[in-house]
Amino acid sequence: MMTWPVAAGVVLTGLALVAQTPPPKLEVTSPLDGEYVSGILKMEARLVPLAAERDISSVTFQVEDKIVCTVVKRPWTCMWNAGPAIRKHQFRIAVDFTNGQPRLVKVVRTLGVDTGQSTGVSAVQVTATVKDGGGRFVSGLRPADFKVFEAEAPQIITGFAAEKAEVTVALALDTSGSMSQALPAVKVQAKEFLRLLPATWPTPVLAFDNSVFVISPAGAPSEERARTIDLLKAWGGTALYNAVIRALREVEAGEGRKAIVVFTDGDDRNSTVDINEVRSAVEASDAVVYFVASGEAARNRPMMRAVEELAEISGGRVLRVQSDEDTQKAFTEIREEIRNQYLLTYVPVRLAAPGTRRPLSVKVSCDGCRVRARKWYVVSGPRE
Amino acid sequence: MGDVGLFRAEPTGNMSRQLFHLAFTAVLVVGTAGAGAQSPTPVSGVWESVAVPGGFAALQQTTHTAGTADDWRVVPLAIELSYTGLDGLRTVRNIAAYAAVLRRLHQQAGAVSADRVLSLSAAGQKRAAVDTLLETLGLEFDRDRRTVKPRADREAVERTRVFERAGLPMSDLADRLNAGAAVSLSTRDGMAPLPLGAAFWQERFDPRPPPQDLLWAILSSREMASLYYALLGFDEATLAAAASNADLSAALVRHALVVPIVVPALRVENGRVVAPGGAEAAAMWADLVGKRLDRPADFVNSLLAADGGRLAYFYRTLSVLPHVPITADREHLRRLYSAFAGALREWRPDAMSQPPYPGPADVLIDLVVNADGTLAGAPWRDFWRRVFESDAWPSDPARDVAQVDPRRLLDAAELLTLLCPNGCDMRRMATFALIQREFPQPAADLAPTLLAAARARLRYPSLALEIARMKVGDPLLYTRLGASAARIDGLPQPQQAVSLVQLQSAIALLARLRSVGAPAEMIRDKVTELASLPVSPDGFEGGVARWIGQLFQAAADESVDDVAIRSLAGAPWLPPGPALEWEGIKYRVDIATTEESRIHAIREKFSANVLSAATTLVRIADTLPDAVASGSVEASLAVLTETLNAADPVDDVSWTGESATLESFRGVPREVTSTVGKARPSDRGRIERAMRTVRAAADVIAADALAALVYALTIQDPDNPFTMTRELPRRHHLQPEGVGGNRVSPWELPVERVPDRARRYISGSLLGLAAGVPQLPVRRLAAGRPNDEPNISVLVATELQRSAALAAPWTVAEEDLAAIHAARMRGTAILEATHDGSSLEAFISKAGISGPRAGWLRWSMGRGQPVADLMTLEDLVRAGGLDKRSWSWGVSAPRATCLCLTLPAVTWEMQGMPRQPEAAAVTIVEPAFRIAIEIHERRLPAALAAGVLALVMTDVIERSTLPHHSDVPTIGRYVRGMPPSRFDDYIAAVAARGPLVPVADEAKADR
Repeated sequence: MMTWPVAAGVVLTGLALVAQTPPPKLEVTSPLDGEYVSGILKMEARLVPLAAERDISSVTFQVEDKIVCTVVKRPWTCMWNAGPAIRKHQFRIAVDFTNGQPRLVKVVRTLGVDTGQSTGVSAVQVTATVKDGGGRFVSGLRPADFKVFEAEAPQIITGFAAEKAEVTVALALDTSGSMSQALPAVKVQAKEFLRLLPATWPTPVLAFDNSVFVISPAGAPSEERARTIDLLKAWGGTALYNAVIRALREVEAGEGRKAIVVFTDGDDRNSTVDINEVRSAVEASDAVVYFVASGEAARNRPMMRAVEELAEISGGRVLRVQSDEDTQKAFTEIREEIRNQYLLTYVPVRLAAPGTRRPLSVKVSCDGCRVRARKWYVVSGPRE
Repeated sequence: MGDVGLFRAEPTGNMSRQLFHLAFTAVLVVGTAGAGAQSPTPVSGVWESVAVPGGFAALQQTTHTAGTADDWRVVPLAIELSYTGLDGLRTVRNIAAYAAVLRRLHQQAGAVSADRVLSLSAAGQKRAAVDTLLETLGLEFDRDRRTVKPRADREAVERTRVFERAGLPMSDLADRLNAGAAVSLSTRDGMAPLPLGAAFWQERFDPRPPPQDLLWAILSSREMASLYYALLGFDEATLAAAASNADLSAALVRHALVVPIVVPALRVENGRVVAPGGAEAAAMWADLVGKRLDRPADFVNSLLAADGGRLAYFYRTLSVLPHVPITADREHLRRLYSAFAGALREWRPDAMSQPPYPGPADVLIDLVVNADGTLAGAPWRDFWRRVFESDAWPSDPARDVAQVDPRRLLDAAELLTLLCPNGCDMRRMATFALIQREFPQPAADLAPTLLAAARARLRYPSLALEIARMKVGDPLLYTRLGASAARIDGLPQPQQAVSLVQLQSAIALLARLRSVGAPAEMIRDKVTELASLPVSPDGFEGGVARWIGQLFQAAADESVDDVAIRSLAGAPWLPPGPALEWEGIKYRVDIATTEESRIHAIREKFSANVLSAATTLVRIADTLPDAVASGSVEASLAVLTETLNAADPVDDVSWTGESATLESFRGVPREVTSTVGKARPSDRGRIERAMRTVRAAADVIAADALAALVYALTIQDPDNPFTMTRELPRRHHLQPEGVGGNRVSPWELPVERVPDRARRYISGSLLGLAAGVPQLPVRRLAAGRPNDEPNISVLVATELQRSAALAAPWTVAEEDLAAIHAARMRGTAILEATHDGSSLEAFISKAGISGPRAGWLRWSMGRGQPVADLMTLEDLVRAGGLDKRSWSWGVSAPRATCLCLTLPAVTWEMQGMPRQPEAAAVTIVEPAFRIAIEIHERRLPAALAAGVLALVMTDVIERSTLPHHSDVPTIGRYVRGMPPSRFDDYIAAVAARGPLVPVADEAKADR
């Protein structure tokens, strides 16, 4: 047992050590000051000395005027989609402590590039799903097996990604008030859907009620993503169309194949965009759009017609579900379909004016095979 | 005496009367807080305590008010919900059931052991007692295994939650009992103030409830709950009077449902009623009530009984008027009361229902009175009768007011009758408020102009509000712009809609230019030019486009749009401010630069045409005769074709109320070419026809471009959901639609419409867009979704957002934030010196604290408990003294009577509780005060405050967990509880998007 003077001495020494210990330093290892960033970005911070991290209560990552992550345990990272363009950004990382130590803050500013007006010709990407006569996905096809026609004119395929290539998949979940019964099961199935996708695929997750939120950015750790999905509660209205547009934006920065999967149980009621704007956005995007419609949504004919049209334009489809089992099956089908798609890229032989709608068709030299791909696209770029 | 009213606009020649009048004003000013010139002397012994069995948290759980409320708020809120809420009966039943189960728990636990300790070993000896106790606790006993487990039925689960909050260890109760532990079942009771003591209350019930059940007895009775609620707001002298005067207390009990209406105006001291207005008013009140003030019981009995409580409400209303003097004329007071009561015909005050909003009390509270006690604004009786005769635009205002006799003055009774002809008319109130604010002391010869201004407010409300906001100081602007609006009224569609969009947008741009610092003379001249533009059946015929070209004159190498945006951002008038350092980065305040990039960013999100296309077209049209004459028409036609080929078709526009194609522009070049391609100068008819065609296209393009610009000025956050659609400005409806109170005309402040199965749109005026649809400028700090549904009332949320929408970086004055900060410091010092009943009364009086919280404060002080935690920022600031009348910072004005921020004249508590959500919302100043203090303490510029307010309001709306959807005290509590680091986050967010601009090469190392 320690005697009083000894104990007091230890305490005093400890206090002296505390007094002499310099405060930890916050380092932001990504992004760096003056760096150029775009696409999906990992923000990362650490303390020096590392031991000080045990007293962290939270690390807040702020980009511009938004807090995008509040992380309460290691790793002190946060994924964020900077979009396809290289723009100036301001990142702010704030570290709060459990031991009353003052907050540490670091601000990092990345640089932008003024790209001016693009004069290059955009390549066109077409995602194709190929099934045999028995409805099974056909794998192992090569570029030479495909023929792409734009306005009935054959095109030269310049890029090809087979079924194993990376896909950026955005999952948008309806969390409106009407989902209160179904949401617990949908959460389980959504997590399972994401868990069985390759871990390297970027998979942003969105939730929508009256508004749309990216609840888990592309690249977020799967555990964190699952935790965020678990927190969802059902309330509010249904901004379905806004969700589609926002999901398309989320996959826009991804490279290669892209898909969005939208689960909804109701008609659009709260969007600021209308069906025409959503159609335009789908036409201008490379992403394949899938809808899983349950409840009122699956019974609502006008709505079904609208989303079926959107899905068809993109080369995707609508799956109606009536039970938890159906939902699970639908997610499985979509996952398998996404995994087994081909991405064909070509540069149009004949240039069309921006805003022009160009019909597309894809054929495959495989006996008895059926191919599904988007039916047209809209030429992007500024109108003259 | 007929013309001598409540207000005087001219000297009567009777100096003594005038002085008396002023003295009377002063007495009333001091008496604002309802406590009179002198604070009442505290009397001990009028407060006892009552047990809150199970404590406050459990009572909250029981009443389903599980948000975070202060303890003092829980019992009053339970009373409000029980007896004034729509679902009151359920609340009463829940409380009764909870009381019964708690009583049963205590009895059963007492039967098991005297010290209320339970262990399963007792089950052997007291089997029946333990069984029933376990059942009450929601536990199921397995007699064979001698273990318990929680029941899963709904009732047991709900009961477990309540017991948990009452302090019982419910989460591990079964485990502990199964482990053989002895568990205490004593609940964590709370204590609440009990005015007049237990004996008084027990006597009200038969049988007399024991002390432990007294609160339940009070809450279960509508009358007693009402009386309890009211007595909490009585000062100690009055309580003492009630305690010692059996007749007085009997009168209070007799009219228990009305007593809350009169708190805190009802004061009795030294055996005499202290009436509003002090000694000079005593005789008037005695006359009106019909009883002497030195007979308090009689007086109070009559006051509360009269007209079912309307007289009590009148009495209370006059006691809280901040600065309105009362005439010494008894007859006028009678007439005023008669008008007041007449405006409240439908109200049932003795049923604890809320007074109508807006009501006559709001008319009187909102009145502006000049420093000399006279009524501000036009005081002429005939004038106001003329104003409200019709809402038609006066073609000849001078003729209309020719019969107005400026010597015949309006008195308050007549005013109430005029503003509340059939219940209080919000439009009339707003019209009166506008004239009061903008023309405090007008000369009689200004009557025609004021008539135009008043009619503009009635007929073109958003126009009048924007003119007032411009602060140009020329009353003729109302006449000129009102006439311009009237000219458009008669146009056919779609010319009317296209002209409306142009006119409203152009005014919005001028208001914005003025707001960012454009000189008043410049704005006045530009308004005059705009108002002078001719309007033909075809509309402006390029007039607005031409006017825009002159307003934003562009050099050869820049576009009209760039010049416009730069000007609207304030570049010519808002120079960069000094450098400052924040979180290791050096910034400078540069509102104009950041605004310019923000406006560009938002504007680019809309698929609208550009202003330069409109100005180009109108230039082509204007020069067409010269071009034909000089033989250069081909060059003009080439520019025309190029301009229109590049134009975005205006092919899905809803300005007329229906989706329509206004102009595809495809046929215009061909039509114009065929008309004038080979014309000679003498072909005047052909040339003019071509000019009209081009000007019509210019009108459509100008309207399209202007509407998009107005939206770009309004939306603050590029990620706002409204920016998802490129068509938002084209979806704006400018046609009357809706019915009843939901009806919106093209000049009404706009509202958002969310139709079933159709796209959302905004309807109403393009003026006051931010104030009308404050969701447009809203900003959010957190990118993620709130996990729980916000439970704040939509009306309160909208008002909170409106306050943020009305603030701009360039409008917030440093001195206002400094004044609030200094007042808070003074108030804190006063509070720190508050150590006894007298000083507390003084503080309560200065701060304007009233209602149940006042009682809780007095009770706490009497028990030697600290009172600081019960204070709000508003208390401290008000106690510290705010002597300004005009503020650039605060909350939106009641009922959007101005597009401005203000500080409410009367606190929420002084207005009486509870009130309708929209009435309550405009008194929530805690966010504004907290921000002022946080910004000032960090020595940061006031320019940051507006952005921070927008972010704070969103957090308040989304994250404050309220026990009730419009609970003002808990909103304040949430704001006070925000950690300072959260404000660092807000400031950093504002710094990232402006008005701060990093001085990049001076960046410092990390903090």
